[in-house]
Amino acid sequence: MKLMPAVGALGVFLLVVGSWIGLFVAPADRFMGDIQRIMYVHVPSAWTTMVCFTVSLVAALGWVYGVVRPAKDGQRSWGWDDALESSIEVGVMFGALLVMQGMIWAKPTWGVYWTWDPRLTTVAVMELMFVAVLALRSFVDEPVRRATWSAVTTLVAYVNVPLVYFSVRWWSSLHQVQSTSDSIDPEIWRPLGINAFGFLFVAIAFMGLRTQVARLTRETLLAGDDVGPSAGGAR
Amino acid sequence: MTGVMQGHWDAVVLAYSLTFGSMGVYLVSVLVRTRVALAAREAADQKEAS
Repeated sequence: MKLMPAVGALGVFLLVVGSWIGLFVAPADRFMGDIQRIMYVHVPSAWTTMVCFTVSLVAALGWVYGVVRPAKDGQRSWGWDDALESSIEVGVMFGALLVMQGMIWAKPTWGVYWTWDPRLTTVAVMELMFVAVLALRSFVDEPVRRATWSAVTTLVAYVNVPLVYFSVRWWSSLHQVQSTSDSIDPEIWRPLGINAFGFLFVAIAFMGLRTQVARLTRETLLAGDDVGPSAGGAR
Repeated sequence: MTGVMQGHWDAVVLAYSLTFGSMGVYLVSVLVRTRVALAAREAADQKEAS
């Protein structure tokens, strides 16, 4: 946890460098001009959102495994629930940024801020379903029930992630298909890659800090109930 | 450049400002919640000790 400020600082440094190159060094796109520079934050936001929601999937599976096969000493692996809460919140934050950047980019290129295109629609559904998981958590006070319900709903919500990724290939979409390092010029790929790592490190730092909040809040709640986190009775 | 689309720096600036501004606001919100959670935890510990 003490590493998180350093990871975050490295992320910010990479974002400054990547954004500087993306804004002032990389050439403007042949067709879209300077508006294409939004890509250097838009695409990393998308990747980071996917990474955060994948972390939440792993955390949900970890918690569900603990429910199906409880530890012999009766202890709960609360770390999974803390990680789930933090990764979903950070993922939703980056997902909201993704949608807003996309809308700003869409207006001059597509003529509208929003259209019910398969990619945009699946992203909206994914974002709303993970927001629903966070809302569910705020409605359930009992920690074990909250953790189990949010793990199960996370598994359901995660179905949207591959749908978002493949939506541009499976259905006719205004949104372009994924670019790779082979399909775009190195001058464009360089700031994109630097910013991608910058976003990733910042997201890791956010998740680390947010996990600490989740752990402290849950420990305080359990201490108030006279069932500490190490008490096996918190079922 | 073909000139199909030129300019739009206002949209670029808006997107970058929104992105990094939101990340900054989120960082502050997490730090504030950390302080609040730490204070609540300490208060619970003191209550338990007494």
